Amino acid sequence: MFISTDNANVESFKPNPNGFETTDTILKTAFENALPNEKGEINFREMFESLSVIFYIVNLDPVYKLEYVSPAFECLGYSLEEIYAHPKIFDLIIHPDDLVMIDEQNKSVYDGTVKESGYAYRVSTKGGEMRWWKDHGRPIFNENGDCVKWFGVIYDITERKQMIEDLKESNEKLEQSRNDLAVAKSYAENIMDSMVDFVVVVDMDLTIKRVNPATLKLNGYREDELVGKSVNMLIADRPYNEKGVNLLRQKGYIQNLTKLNRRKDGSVVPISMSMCIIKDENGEEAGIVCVGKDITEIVKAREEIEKSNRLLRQSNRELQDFAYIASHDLQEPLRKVQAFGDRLQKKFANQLSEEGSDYISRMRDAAIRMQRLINDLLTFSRVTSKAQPFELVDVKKIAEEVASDLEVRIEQTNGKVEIGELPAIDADEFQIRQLLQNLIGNALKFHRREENPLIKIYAESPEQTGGSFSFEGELIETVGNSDQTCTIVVEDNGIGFDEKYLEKIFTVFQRLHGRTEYEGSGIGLAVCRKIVERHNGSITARSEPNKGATFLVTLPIAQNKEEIKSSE
Amino acid sequence: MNKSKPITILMADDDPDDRLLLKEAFEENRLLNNLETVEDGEELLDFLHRRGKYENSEITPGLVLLDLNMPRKSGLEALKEIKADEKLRRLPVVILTTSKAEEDIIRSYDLGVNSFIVKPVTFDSLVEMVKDLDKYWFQIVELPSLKN
Repeated sequence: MFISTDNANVESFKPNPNGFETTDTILKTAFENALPNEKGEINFREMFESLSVIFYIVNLDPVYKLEYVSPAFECLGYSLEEIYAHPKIFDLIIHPDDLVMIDEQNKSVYDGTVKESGYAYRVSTKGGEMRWWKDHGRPIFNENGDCVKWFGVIYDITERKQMIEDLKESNEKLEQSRNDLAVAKSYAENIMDSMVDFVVVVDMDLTIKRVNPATLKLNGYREDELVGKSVNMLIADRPYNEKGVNLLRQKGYIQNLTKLNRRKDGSVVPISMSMCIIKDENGEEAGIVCVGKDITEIVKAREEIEKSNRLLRQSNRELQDFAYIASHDLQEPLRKVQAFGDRLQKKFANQLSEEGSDYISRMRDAAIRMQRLINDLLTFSRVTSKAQPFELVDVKKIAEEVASDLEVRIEQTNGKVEIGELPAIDADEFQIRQLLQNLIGNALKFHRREENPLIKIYAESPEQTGGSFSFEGELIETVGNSDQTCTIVVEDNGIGFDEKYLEKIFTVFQRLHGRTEYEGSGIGLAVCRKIVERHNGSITARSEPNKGATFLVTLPIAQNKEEIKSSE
Repeated sequence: MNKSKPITILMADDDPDDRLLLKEAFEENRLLNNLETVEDGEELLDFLHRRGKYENSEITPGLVLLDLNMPRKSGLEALKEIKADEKLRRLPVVILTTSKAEEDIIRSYDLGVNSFIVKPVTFDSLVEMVKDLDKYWFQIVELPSLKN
């Protein structure tokens, strides 16, 4: 009747514990409360009034007046007395924003366009709570066709409205998450497509499900040639099997596995890959994701390094062999030249002319020089072959000891050695001693006749050439902390040299002066450079002829001990 | 001291020049009759054990001058055998070599060598050395008597 079927299931006044009162239950209650009396008559008024649906009749003629309202109206918190006492109770309770709409709707009922009104509006309870009402009304006309009364039925649709709102909201959410998923999916696909590394997704039975373009590029296959096939068609070495999958299950992932990958053309490339099992939303294994890359270049580089390490070890061994040969076998014939020359000169002195004796002397001198050269070369080679591990050494202490060792020569030349502040560094103590000995020795040797040698040794303030960086809140020092260096300066007031010979002075057996002027084979500074280079440092000099020379040795303060160990 | 019976010095050196120079140095010191030479470690041990071509030898040397680098059996190998031998271990052995290498010196003393001498360069110093060796080992130092 008044309750249209489309609202039947949800419209009600108040919720009951099992959900909403249905029209059926409303009517059932109504009929139960309105049992026929003894005469068999049914009291309809009583019956209607027992319903939770509101019935109302409004008188419009001559003035607006509420004629009747069923007690269900009291649900708003107003008593029936209050309701009847109010001149325009509907204007009080209906939300002001809805009044216009109601007027409009009612008009089309008055003018007969529609037979019955039907609209929802908001009402306010006495306590200020908002509820939604659905109102179906019908005008009652008199014989002149004037609308004299308005009869209507109202039921509360707040809960239904709320449900619809909720449904709408959850639909929107669903739509949103569907969109998010689509975005995420295309995002993931974009990543996969643009990755340089290959990505292969396989089933738990190792059948290829998906591959990214990098996989196709690496292997020369089309996508359809791979999908649906066993992943082992891409493997050139030991194929994957159930055992491998079980291992993966145990560990959860496998990282940096080196395998051989077979391309479509049959060629084989080394790859490094990582795998992990992916699970679906129920936690079931959904497949295995394999990500990896072609490591041909890395393998090649590694092989190169191994090769050069091997060569290095070999040449080091050869150097040691050479050192041994030089100290034994090469010395032997030289000693003979000297010894027999000596014999010749002594035993046959009376048979030799002065000239003949002079030749023999020159020959013996040459042998002595050769012996010195061999010894110097041996010293040079020992920088590598007799290298000791780096440890913290006090350069100042060594400088003082070297000066003390050279005391006699310093006194002979009326020289002076001034030692300033020098750092402690990671180094081979013996070699640092050798370095300072050669540099100070050189400074004493090449002094100017007209001036007493003054040699200053000091360190230039260390400079920070590298740095450290922060990673996850921790300060990570750059490898070996070898970025901090110090420069040891050895300055003299000697004869100096022209800087165009800078490279020459550090080269083995290169000399700037004649043998008769200054003795020596020209090994000292070459040994210095070799020592400095072994310490990952550098040596240079600044000078002008007759204006003294300044040698600058730059050395790391700390050495990467691992690196040194592995290169030796 | 007891010079009635000359004591023999046995030199093991593969270098004929060195053997010649040492001979001349002994000559200079008028000690030539006291020098015997062998050419490698194998021969040295044959001499000491009186086997092979030295089967009929009656000489028991009082001192061995040993070169390090020799074919067949090196000085260090020979030294090791001598010092491990019950009968020979008390025989004084002096290394006479060109090597000044630290590791050779250490290894020689580790193996029980009695002295380590680097071969002198000039003949004069070689003559001096022979004189000193003779004086030191046969006049100054007391040695246990060696049984045959």
